[in-house]
Amino acid sequence: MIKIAITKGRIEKQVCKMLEKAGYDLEPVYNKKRELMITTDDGLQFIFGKANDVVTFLEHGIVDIGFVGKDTLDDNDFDDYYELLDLQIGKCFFAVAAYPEYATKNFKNRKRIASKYTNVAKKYFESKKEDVEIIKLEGSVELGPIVNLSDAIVDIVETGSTLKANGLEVIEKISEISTRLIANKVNFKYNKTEIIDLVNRLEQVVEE
Amino acid sequence: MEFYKYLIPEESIDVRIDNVATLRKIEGKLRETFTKNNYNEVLMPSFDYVELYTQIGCDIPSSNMFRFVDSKGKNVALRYDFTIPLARLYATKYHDTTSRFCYFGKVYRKEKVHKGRSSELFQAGVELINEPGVRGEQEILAMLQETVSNIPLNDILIEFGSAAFLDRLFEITDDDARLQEILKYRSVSQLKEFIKEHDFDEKFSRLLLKLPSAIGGTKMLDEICELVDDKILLDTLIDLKCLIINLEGTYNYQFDLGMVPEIDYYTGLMIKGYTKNAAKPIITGGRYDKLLPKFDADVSAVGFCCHLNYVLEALAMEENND
Repeated sequence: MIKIAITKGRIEKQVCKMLEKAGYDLEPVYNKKRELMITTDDGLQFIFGKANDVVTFLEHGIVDIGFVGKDTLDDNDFDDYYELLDLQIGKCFFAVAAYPEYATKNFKNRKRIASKYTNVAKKYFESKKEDVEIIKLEGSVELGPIVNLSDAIVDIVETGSTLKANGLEVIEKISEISTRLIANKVNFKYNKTEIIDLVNRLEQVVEE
Repeated sequence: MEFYKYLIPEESIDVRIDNVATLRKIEGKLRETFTKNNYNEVLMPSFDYVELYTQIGCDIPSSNMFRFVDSKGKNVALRYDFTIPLARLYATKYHDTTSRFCYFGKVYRKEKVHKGRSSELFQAGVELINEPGVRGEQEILAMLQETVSNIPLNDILIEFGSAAFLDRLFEITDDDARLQEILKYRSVSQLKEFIKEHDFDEKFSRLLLKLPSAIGGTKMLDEICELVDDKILLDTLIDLKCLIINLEGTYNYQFDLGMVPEIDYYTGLMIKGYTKNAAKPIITGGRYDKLLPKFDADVSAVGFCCHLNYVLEALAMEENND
């Protein structure tokens, strides 16, 4: 049996569809009501959780594999996993965004950067040899520049329409994001055949 | 509020009475095994200079250490590791002799809170210094075997890798950082991209593609050998095979040719031990000929370490499941 944790919401929907295409029976998952743990006849056991919790479950070996966005992996301090497959779904990117004048403005003080992804923001500005102040916001990060709490934001950009609607624009792309299949290193060793089979089947769906 | 009367710091481990007896029993058996084979127990200091860990090139971030400033204004850390201080001990006191050390004790590593991780880790291990080549490895493997038989877990799986194999692979591909990163995460998608970007011949590409799942017995190893044209690369695999298949006794083991050294001082054989109920390896080790030269002692070393708190956790899980 493979134990799987999936990030709730959009990733869950897309991954389930891919698993179905790969030949797994997902009916029990589609028909779930409020259960948090589902076991299918194919020998898959699913739990569903928030992205960072998927990583936590995997770290503790509660699940063998997890489906999670690269954004979560980049911002999480846990690093000891295998990243077996890029599912090429949920594609978007990390970017610095601000009002257009940000690019040419001469800052006298430290720039203030609002982000939900504080580690990503920190690493990015470090790589630029820039010292900035990072302010954590949990959502609607675009508010940062709008209410003048920050000079710019570091956030996920998919279509850019929220930015545009608020007069903000992408200043620089930081890195690409998509959904990844990750595995706990020890559990991988004990369930190698089943996990590799699942990876191969999913890989074919990705390539189609 | 007198919080200190009922709270302990987040960094502390829970005080347990029920598993101390188990811990001491395993520790006792290991001590008997180690000392019987002439491994001298050393009682390592609890404090060391932060620089010992940061400057020796092992990439240990000082933010992970419990640090304070000593009376001379120097930065001191709580013991973070045993192998590095032992290398210093050898280099300063036992230079040029073949030395066998064993150790038991805690290391202290700062972890983020609320992640369910422990900052106090109980380790037991052996180091064989200045016994180069196959002889050193054979001795350590014999010790490993005795150690495993003294750990009362049912399903211990030992895995062997080769840092020499990887080093040669990185030489051939003329790229260590990227391929090493790809293999560390076993990212099949990125590996395919990497191959696409390079002009490798078909056979070598096939070899690379096999590596993320190159885990198995001698049959798997032979299959990989078939794909290797480079003489030096092939020799690293043959060395590994000869070393392991000559092991006496029963041993539940496999090879993992995609195993990437976690610390870059490993040079040859790499060892990992797993059990189903622990989310991390319970044994780690290998040949690390690059460490002692950093202390100006040009000698080889090989050893392994048991992570006894993971062993205890796994034992508790096994009991619960029964």
